[in-house]
Amino acid sequence: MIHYSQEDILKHLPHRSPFLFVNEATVLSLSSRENPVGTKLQGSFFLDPSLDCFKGHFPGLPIFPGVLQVESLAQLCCLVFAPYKKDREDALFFLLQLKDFKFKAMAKPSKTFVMEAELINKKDKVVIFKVQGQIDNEIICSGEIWGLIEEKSL
Amino acid sequence: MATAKSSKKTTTSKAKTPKKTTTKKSAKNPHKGSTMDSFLKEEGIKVSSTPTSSQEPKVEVSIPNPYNDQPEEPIKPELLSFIAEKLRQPVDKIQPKTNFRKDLGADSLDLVEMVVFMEEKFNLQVSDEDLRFLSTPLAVQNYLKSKGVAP
Repeated sequence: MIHYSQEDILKHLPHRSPFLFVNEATVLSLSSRENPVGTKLQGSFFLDPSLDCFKGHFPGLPIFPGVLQVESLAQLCCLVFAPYKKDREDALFFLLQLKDFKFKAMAKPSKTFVMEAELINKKDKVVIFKVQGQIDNEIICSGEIWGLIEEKSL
Repeated sequence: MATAKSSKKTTTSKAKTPKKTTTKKSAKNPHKGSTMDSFLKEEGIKVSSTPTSSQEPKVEVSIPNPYNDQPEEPIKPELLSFIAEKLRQPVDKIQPKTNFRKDLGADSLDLVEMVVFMEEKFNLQVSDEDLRFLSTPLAVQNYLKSKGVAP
């Protein structure tokens, strides 16, 4: 089983604090470099009460914003290619669209946002992920993230 | 977000140009009108098919398309409706050899969406190589026939 620590993640993602929303990740299902469809990862992000977003979203009622839930999941999607490449320069990922995305419950501070992302289809440079986010084993958001992957040596 | 143009159907080559000229960016908005490909190019990211400068002569090389280079025949109404719905176009605007990109303004994402729905509807897998050939309703119809799927 492949596990990525925060240090490992920094080698594979271009994101940096305060815009890095994955603390650690584990590969649940591995596919192949030639056809990575089926690769599935689980990741987590601790919703530290000191995060800047909680100061304004909202005063007195801190909630981890839906857009940042999507961003966190998109960052995990970037990591789906990590087992097949050397470093973050090898494959860059850009968001294209969200499909059938739903937010079902609120994400509050001091909880761990647990994410899953599975690559379900790849057509040329367009990659499609099925994703979900959980808090305390309850699914709080789910849907599809479509992105563009620009491969250099993947 | 800008859409991605990643067609590999045509390739471009540079004709003899004595010196490479650079295009000055607008001081007000350097990214005005930029697409994902041009953004990637500006960021120094190599893309497989990049638009050339308007100052450079563009030579288009036609690649044989086994599914489109066939005698024209009517498109079955079910397939026509399916394509029109997925590309959000009126049915009467779509002819057998209407090019999805050039004539209907579809981008890479539109085409991939259509093909993904097609895979689900007809229970098949479209390879990246075949994806490039699915440029017209006729090509799609002939492709489905070749896979033994009746649209």
